Amino acid sequence: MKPADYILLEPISETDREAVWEGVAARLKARKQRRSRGFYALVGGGVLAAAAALTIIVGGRPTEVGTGAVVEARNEAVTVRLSDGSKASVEPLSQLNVLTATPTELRVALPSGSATFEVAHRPERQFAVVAGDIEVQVRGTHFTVRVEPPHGKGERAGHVEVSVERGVVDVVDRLSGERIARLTAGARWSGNALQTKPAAARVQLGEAGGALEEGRQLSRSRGPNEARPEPRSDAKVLFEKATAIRRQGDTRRAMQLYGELLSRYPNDEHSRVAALELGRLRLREGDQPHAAARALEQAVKTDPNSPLQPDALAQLVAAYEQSGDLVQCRRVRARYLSAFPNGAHSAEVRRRCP
Amino acid sequence: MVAKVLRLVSPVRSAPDEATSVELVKRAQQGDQAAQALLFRRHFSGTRALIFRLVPYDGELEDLVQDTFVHAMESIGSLRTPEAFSGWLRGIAVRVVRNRLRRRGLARRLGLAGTEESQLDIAVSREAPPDVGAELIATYRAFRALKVDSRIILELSRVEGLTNAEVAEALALSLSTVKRHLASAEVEFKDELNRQARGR
Repeated sequence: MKPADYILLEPISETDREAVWEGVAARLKARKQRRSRGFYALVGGGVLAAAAALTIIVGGRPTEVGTGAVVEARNEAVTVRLSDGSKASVEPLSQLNVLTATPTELRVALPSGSATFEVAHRPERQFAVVAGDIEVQVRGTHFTVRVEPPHGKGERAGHVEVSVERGVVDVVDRLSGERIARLTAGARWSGNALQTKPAAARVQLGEAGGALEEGRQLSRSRGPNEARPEPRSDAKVLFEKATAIRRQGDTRRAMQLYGELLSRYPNDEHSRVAALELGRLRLREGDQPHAAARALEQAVKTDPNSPLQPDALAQLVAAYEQSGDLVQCRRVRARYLSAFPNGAHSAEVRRRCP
Repeated sequence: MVAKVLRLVSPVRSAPDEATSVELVKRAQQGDQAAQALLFRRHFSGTRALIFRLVPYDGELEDLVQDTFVHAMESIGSLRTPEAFSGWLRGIAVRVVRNRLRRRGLARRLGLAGTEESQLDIAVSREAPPDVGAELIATYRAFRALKVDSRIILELSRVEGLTNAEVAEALALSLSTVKRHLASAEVEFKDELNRQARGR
């Protein structure tokens, strides 16, 4: 026997093993779909063609969509069927992204616009709609989520509204995991997806009690004298959340959170690692080399003396090579080889953009 | 009665498993997802155990295993010799672990990672001969202080018992480079053992 055979390892159940395979299969499927979309975008040429390839045009029976699908409704509503039999009606000028569609989890994101969901009752499956910092979790129900564009102007930018027609949903703060409200049929919740929910408002909501009962309406709009909530200061929480989600295999969502961290806390120390992680993930996904380069440029600029610098530069060389920008690729390659001639990546970097 | 039922059921349920690894690799290369799943199940335990021995303190074991199989299934088309699947998969697992250790080393220097290194102890089976068990524990304690590449090459050689040629395949290096790195890692390792002995 070799020494390795004497090292004990906690066994894993077949169920857990299959869960790992599900994660592998989901990631492979998502990458395949993204590559396929990338191909059609190239064939079509230009942004319009790409948008057409990503838009799901539905006539008659709703089209079934899976992980990685982007449903964009322009002039008229689009209804799609999710892999578990649930339906989503996406209103005009709205977009719905399917983040995860597995037998145990269905997670969609609504960056802006409005969508109504008819969720099939499946106790074994988690169903969640992500709207900014808000997550609507549900078991089986009919409800609508409306999101104002996060980059719009005015008080309603990033505003989220959830109304329930049937069943029960939980409105959850995605970063803390804390439940903000439980809504039953007829109830409505509204708040801002871009800002931290003030504790006072949550208490008020909790004390409302009866407002959670069927048929009642409730609203969490800010009062005229209520202080504007402070931006969340805990970049670490966001970083850890993104990392945990990346580990679960939901690369798309992890990338969203790393991106959010970079835009909200550009000077925080976690942003250095987040920029590198975001660039690395975009590069690994294979269809976003330009976006990867942008994130990696940010990682390189944030702190030139950082120990992360060799990794960031090496990844940046790869990103520029993958994007076809050989001028930038050679520029960054020269910079890497000048600064780290015997670095861990020097052999790999030398081979790039010849 | 139970045995009878098992005999009746077993051939039907295990039929897909009877395919050889070479057949499965060929089918997987053509995009057969069932073959990919079977390959995963067949190689899951071995890959998981290898990754665990490379990073026994890691709380992300299943994450690393998943990364390994995603990379493997995505690039399986590039595997020219289906018979070499096991060694090829081991090479991918080693690269995944090495990248993770490097990133973690950087994060630690930035104060963004925990102190997992302190948990770099392993549990050794009672069946292990006393000298082997003691050497394994001392080896892993010394690993804490070594560079990532030194740790990996020593683990593959000393713990996994791979030949230099197999280590070269796993690390995608030439045989002469492996010999050179191994010699350098052995010096580093012995220095660390001596340092620990003096500290006692």
